[in-house]
Amino acid sequence: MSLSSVRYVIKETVLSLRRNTWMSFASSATVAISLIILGFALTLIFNTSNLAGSMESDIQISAFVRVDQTPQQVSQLQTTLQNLSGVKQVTLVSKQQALNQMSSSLSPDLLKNLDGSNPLPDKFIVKVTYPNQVKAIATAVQKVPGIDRVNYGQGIVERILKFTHWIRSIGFTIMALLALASIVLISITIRLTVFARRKEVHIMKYVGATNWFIRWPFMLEGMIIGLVGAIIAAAVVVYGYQGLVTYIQANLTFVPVINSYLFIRNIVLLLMFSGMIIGAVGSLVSLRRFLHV
Amino acid sequence: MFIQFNNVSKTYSTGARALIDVTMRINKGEFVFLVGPSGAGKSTFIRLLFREERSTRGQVLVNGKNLSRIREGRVPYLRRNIGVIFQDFKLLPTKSVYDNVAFALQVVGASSKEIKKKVPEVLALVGLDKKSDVLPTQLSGGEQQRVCIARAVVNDPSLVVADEPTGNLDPETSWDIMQLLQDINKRGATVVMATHDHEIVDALQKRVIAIEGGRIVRDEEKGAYGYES
Repeated sequence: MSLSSVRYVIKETVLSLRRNTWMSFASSATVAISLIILGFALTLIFNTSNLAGSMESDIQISAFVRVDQTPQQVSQLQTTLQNLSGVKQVTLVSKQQALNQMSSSLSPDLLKNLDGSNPLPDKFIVKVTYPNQVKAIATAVQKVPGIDRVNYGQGIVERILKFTHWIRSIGFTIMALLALASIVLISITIRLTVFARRKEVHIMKYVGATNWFIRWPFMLEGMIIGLVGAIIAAAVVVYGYQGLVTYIQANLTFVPVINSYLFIRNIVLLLMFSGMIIGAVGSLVSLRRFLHV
Repeated sequence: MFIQFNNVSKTYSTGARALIDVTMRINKGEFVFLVGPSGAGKSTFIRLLFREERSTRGQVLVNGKNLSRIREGRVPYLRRNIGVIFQDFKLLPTKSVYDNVAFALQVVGASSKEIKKKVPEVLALVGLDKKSDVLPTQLSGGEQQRVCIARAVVNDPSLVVADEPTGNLDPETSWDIMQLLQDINKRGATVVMATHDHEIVDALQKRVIAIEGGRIVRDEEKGAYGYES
């Protein structure tokens, strides 16, 4: 595209935005409303996903060591377990630590009453890289000689995994639907401005303008409209979310919420990007009908 | 730029048969009138020439290219070599006379230097060099048609097609427009003009192709309009 063409496209875009101030504003407002919904849905989805992730990361295997193992054999066992594929981390909880934990959570008198003997076995806490492999790894751990038995919350783990999978699928479906709805809304609004200029589009076609040359000003216009809408939406979502986080942290302390600069920045960037894409695609969709001359 | 129709038929999706098995040839530099009753197929004939419509059957050859087969992406480049003049002028009301003409050059990516040179030239040709800053709504019908013609020829097309260019004009203004079209023809462009104006056709003694019911019923050099009006 030549320099004079670029200048033409920019001039046409600015002119059209100025000529249709109210229409452009209405389109921006449409984008803003869609993106506010999308933005809050996003924070909800990411938080649920985060919650699901922290539930998944709590999944671990307790492997109890047979009582006849010497301390050397126990440390050898740790190495063996560490080398199993899919294992992220192995921590030893010695029988003494286990006893201390138990007595502090049950009764301080427990140690005294046991009279120096310790009925508890040594235990390894095995963390896995991928939660959905937990069952297979638990079976493998069970087969290691010297391990008495394993416990990984059989039954519950499967349900947690199903739940988190479900949460993520629903989240992404909702996101996709909202994005689609926004595109439809914006294309309906932009269609009005395109309709007002259909004569111009036809003449451009008659004198030999290529479809892309005709599309550029409309696409740029759509992107600017989308970006303005996205900035409004981002402001509402960021302030709204921060208010929500403050409220939840003060009143519902047991609910974990994401509160990081990075997370908010990503949401803002994602909204702006979506706004521009929605605006551009919306324009192109409305224009399509008028290009067939 | 020659035009050749080989057994061209056009049936619209509504079932209307606008052209039926039309075969004819127009040579480079000719001036041709297309006459016939309303609904005979004149407009379809014109629209086939700049690929606004595609023929249902047969070949429409313009400068050796078969427009029925041409890829959609090539159509803009084809049209840059064809000037189209409309009965209703199709001017942009928000742009000045100058900008309406410059528009045709801008959208094909001409440099601003080229635009500044060509637009005044072509406005002088149609006699509107003094009205370049005026909006189309402030012009008379004849003047608006001149702007339309200026826009059509600013790209130096080798073919100019006109669908009833004088249909909305009074007789005197029509003669001015015809003078202009003849000038354009003398400069080398092939001109095809659909018209109902029997006085003009009878007076100018050009080739006349008459269409009725989608078929060519008459094709004669130095022809007459041949219909009661």
